[in-house]
Amino acid sequence: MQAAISQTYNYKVVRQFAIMTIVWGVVGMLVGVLIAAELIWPDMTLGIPWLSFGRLRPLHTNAVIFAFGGCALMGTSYYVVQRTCQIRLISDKLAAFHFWGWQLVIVLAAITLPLGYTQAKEYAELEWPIDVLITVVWVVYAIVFFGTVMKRKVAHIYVANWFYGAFIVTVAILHIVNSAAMPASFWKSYSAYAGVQDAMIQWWYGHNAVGFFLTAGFLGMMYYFVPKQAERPVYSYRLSVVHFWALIFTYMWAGPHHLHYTALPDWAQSLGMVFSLILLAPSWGGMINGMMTLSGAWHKLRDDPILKFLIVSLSFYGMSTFEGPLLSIKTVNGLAHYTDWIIGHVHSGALGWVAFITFGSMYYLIPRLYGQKQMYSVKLISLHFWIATIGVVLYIAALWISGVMQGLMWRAVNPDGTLTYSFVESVKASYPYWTIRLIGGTLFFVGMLVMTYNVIRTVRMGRAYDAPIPDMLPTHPDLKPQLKPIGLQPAHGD
Amino acid sequence: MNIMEMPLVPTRDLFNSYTDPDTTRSCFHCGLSVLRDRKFGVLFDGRFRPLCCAGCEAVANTIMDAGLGDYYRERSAMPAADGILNNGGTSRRLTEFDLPAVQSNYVASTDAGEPKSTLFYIDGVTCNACLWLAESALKRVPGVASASVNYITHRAEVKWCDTKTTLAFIMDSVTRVGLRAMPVAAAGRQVSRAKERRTLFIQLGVALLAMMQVMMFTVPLYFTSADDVSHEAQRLMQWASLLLTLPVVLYAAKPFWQGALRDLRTRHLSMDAPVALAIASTFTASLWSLFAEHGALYFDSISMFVFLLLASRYLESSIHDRALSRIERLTNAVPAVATRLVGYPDSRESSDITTAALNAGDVILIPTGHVIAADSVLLEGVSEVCEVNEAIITGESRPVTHSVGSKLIGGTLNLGAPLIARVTRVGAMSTLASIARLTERTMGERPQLMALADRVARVVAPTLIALACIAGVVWFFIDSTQSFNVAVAVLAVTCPCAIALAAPLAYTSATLTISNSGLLIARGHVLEVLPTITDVVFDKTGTLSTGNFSITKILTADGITRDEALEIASALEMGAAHPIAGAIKKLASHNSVLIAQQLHLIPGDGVEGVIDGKTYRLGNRAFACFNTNDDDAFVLSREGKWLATFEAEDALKADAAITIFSLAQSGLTVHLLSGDRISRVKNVAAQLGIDDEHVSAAQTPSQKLAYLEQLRKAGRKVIMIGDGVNDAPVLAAADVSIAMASGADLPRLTADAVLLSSRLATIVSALQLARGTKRIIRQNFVWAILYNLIAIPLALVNVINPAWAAIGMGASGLIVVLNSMRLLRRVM
Amino acid sequence: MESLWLLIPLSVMLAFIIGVLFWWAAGDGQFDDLEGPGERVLQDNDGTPESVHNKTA
Repeated sequence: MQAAISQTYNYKVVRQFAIMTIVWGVVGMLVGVLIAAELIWPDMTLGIPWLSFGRLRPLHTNAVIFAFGGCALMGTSYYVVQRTCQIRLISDKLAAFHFWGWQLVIVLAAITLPLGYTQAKEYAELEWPIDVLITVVWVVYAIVFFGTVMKRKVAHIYVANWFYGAFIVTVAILHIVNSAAMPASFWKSYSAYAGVQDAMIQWWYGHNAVGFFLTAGFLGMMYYFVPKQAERPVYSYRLSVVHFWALIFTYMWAGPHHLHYTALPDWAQSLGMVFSLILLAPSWGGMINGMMTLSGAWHKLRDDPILKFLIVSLSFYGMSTFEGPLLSIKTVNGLAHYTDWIIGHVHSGALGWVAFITFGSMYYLIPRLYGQKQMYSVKLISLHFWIATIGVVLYIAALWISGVMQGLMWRAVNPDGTLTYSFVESVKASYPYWTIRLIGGTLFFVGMLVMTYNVIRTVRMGRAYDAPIPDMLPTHPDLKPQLKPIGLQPAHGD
Repeated sequence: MNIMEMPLVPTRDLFNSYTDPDTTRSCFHCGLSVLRDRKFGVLFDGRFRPLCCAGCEAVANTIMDAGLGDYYRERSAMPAADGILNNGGTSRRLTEFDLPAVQSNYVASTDAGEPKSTLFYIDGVTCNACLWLAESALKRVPGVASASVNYITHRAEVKWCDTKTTLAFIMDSVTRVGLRAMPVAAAGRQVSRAKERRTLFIQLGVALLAMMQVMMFTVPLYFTSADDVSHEAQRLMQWASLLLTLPVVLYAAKPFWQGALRDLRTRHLSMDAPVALAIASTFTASLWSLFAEHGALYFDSISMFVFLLLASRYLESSIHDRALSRIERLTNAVPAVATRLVGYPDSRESSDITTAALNAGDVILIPTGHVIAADSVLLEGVSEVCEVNEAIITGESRPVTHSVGSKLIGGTLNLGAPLIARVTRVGAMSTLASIARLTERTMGERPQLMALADRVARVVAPTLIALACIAGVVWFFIDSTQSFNVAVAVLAVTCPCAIALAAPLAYTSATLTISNSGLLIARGHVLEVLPTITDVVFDKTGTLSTGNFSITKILTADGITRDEALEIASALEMGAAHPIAGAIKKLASHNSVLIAQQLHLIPGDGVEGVIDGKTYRLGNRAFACFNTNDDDAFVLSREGKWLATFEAEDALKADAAITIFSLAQSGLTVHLLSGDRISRVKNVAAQLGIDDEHVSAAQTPSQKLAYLEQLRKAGRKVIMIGDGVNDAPVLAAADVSIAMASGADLPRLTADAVLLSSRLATIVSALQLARGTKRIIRQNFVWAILYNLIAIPLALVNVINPAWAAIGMGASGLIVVLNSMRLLRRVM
Repeated sequence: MESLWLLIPLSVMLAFIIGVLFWWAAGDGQFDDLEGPGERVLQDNDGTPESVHNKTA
């Protein structure tokens, strides 16, 4: 039977991205652990400039968001788009170019950022030559993805593809607008915008990068892998479609809340706040939709660590999408802005939602890419789950406490109007919590190592497998063309 | 094809009672029990799985061989019993669809060389895996270019090349996996309605998107002082608002423009005219202000106004859609092809014929799992149990048992063994067509209240325009700058839509809900009158009973035992179909060897036959014993001498007592009129807890009529519930009449409503819903009138600006729609 | 407020793109069956067949 199959899905590029997801996950999280330690022991890197916090922090964010998260999104989107459109990617060559191009971007980032080449825009630090490369690679990605969608064999475009598509288009626009810059030399450029305009554009970008890179893209992942792993259709498909349109209708306009109490006009800040609050509705709609997929089958959650990853990721999604609008309320923001609370908020989304849904999806995906029924060890998945969960909880709780503490210390005033605490005092008071954060982060990193071991064993156990496209299966002889149906008696009219 | 050659397909419960438990295994495909000596089976996941019959084996093998084994992993319910078909029989019947005359109904015309397109209804679906199975099977047919099944409507759209395959072969491919695909005739009306709804949906979406974006640019300005935002920024946002409002005015508001144009042509103003005028004037004014750089802008109000109005309209159309799709489902239920037995009863030669060509009097064969093609009378069934699923009529999924002589309804499903029946009614006279017609008529018929609301709305529209003009002129002299604002505000704020929609939508929703619970409303006034009812009159004891008689008492002459009497009676009733005969046969020993000969049936009296050379009679006393003393006992005699008397009793419907109780509880007086003997009627009344003073037995129709008129003269509002056929004049005298239909009598019924299901409790829930409807309509009216009474004066004195007016009106209409939709329950 | 001169036209443009996309999706029948696609994803068996298991590289 195998010989008769000529058409298979392009699993190769999915495999490549999946493996690099693991690799970059390890790298990104290691750097994260390192800079968390630097906060406690500032001198631990012996003053080597390219190991200093200021240079490694962007490396950490770029590695986990664009390398780890990016590879996960790209790999899974190629898998999902092929399976749900029932067709092979339109071009293997372009897909390969996309993979190698993206790896080159990451490697260049890993070299230039520690060397100090930066545009100094948060989450968009990379200098202009790399920005140009990103643009080219991204356009290729869009061509492959949308080309495949257009050539689909199934009339309906599955909702996950809509989310992935929104992620691809929006990130392209965000990147191009925000990275507009005038090169001064090969490794130096100046932003096309100045002053508060630059800040506004930057946070329009920053916010929507979270919205469309870390939310829409991963929601696409959620809408495919949660039902698949739970073996149940998504609770309400109708709601998932509504979720998509509601999200893209509202998300774009919540950006200014990152700039509360800045030079941004008051009305723009209020607008950002209103839209951030509205945003809660579609976010929670999506979360409930994902969770309720398991309704009537909650027992599956007990035995299946992959489902645990997926469902717990949804609860973190719900938590951080509640925390987000809360933080966008000006008074709350007044307390929380610039404190550790924001870092904690970001990590409850990044570790709890993004990383967990990625882990779950990868545990689902990798055996299938290597001709295996399941991962090498299910117990190790379970172990990973518990280590990671404890890690996240420690991390978030520690930063939440230290954040509120910092906020209160900064605003405390003596009766004579002077500040009660100096800034350094608040830093000193934060040390214990930063230590707990380091422990949490380290646990999360150890979990990642467990996963890596599990993946290596799984890959060695199996071998690269490219699934056939179902429609290409040979037709059963019984269903071959016959102009007269077979009957027990001669056809009518004889 | 001989009917006896048809394979006997076991029905679910039938075999369970016969097999002893340790041999019972269930069929891997259909879940029925498998007898130990059956050797059917299939390999699945490396294990041998038992199957119950050759039909299941054929289907399971096809599924496995086609690589569709996942079906067994994915499914969440067993396949419908009717799905397991005999391949030979069906394949042959389907070839009928390749005749050009038949095919032309189902194939959308395309250019030569293009794939043809056909819509199929997939039947026999029990869970979503079935739909997948059907879709996969369709896709695998060579020559099928594409196939996609809609999981909500269970319809498959198939594109196919007529050079490579045939319609029959496509249908056959679905039959082979145990389902059925019936082509659906493409009706122009449905297609255009679906298109209209889709357009409305897009318009709604465009209006919503534009509304949100325009609000983005305008709302912040409401919250901040003007100096906070630079003039240039304001101009920019105003221009952006204009751009975003353009699609709303040019595209989304199209229904209002079209409506207004139609009004102009017909010189008959509807609500579309003031709406269109409001949109046009505010948009022009906003344009003017934008270019003149001063004055108010209404872009946000326009988009919100249009959105809210479209939302009401869309919800309204979705309610009507559901009502229409019910009618559609009924008309599509009849199969396209029937099997006719031309030479019956001499020969069993069968031929296929399109259902449209059937005539009353034709004899048809209905194989297991097939839909009965036309209303007919059962002539013979292979086995004792003739089970028919009448859910499409009654809403009840429990199969109904039929015996020879009973009426079958076209469109219902034969679950039992093959049946032979004589067609009684076809085409427009058939039961299904009648229901569809009645439903359509009720939808079109307007209760008085509704007609009134309609008239009000018609008067309001021109008045409103006039009022707006007058207000504008008056304000021109007070403060000329405000003149336009006030005129527009008056135009926009008034919401006669709410008044116009208050009643009709509530009625439509309630009618739909009630119809789906098995009470067919045939007259528009029913819902309006039901809440005012004070008395419920049950005409006939039969209304409250099932019609299933059981023998309660047997008196015998000396020298004959109870069992002997039963045995003789049973032999005499061999071929009889009336209910008491059934009760006797049920009680008699099945090992009887007695055979009656020279059976004569004397209609209305009884039966005569010869057993062992002696003449026996069974029937009423006068007939059996040549006795003048007549009562309703059932008597057996030998050579004119009394042998035994059987007393039978009709069992009461299971929910009769609770229904009467709930009716009484809700403050209604329950009466029972009957032509039956006093003792029996009293007995029934006592069992049901009906007061003696409201019970009258041994009533003639004219007495019943007098009783009813007396009630009405006393100022009571009466609902009468009867069987509808023999008592039409009595029913007609009531305020509301409900006929108990044994489905097949439907076309002859004249009642205001027809109870299609056998559940009496349906009447109680209908009554409650009617009261709820009245409440909701009152709420709607109160809201609509209050709103307008408050809003119009405010607009006239220039307190409300056009922006708030638009929001108020749109929201007010939407509230009425949503409130009415509360009456849509458990629909479909 | 110079950034508004970029962001507002951009947002109008995006709104139009989203609108056109929605218009296309509804017209193409993407919203006709909002139940089946959820099921179809499950019915696509992406497990690896037995024959592939346990082969070493």
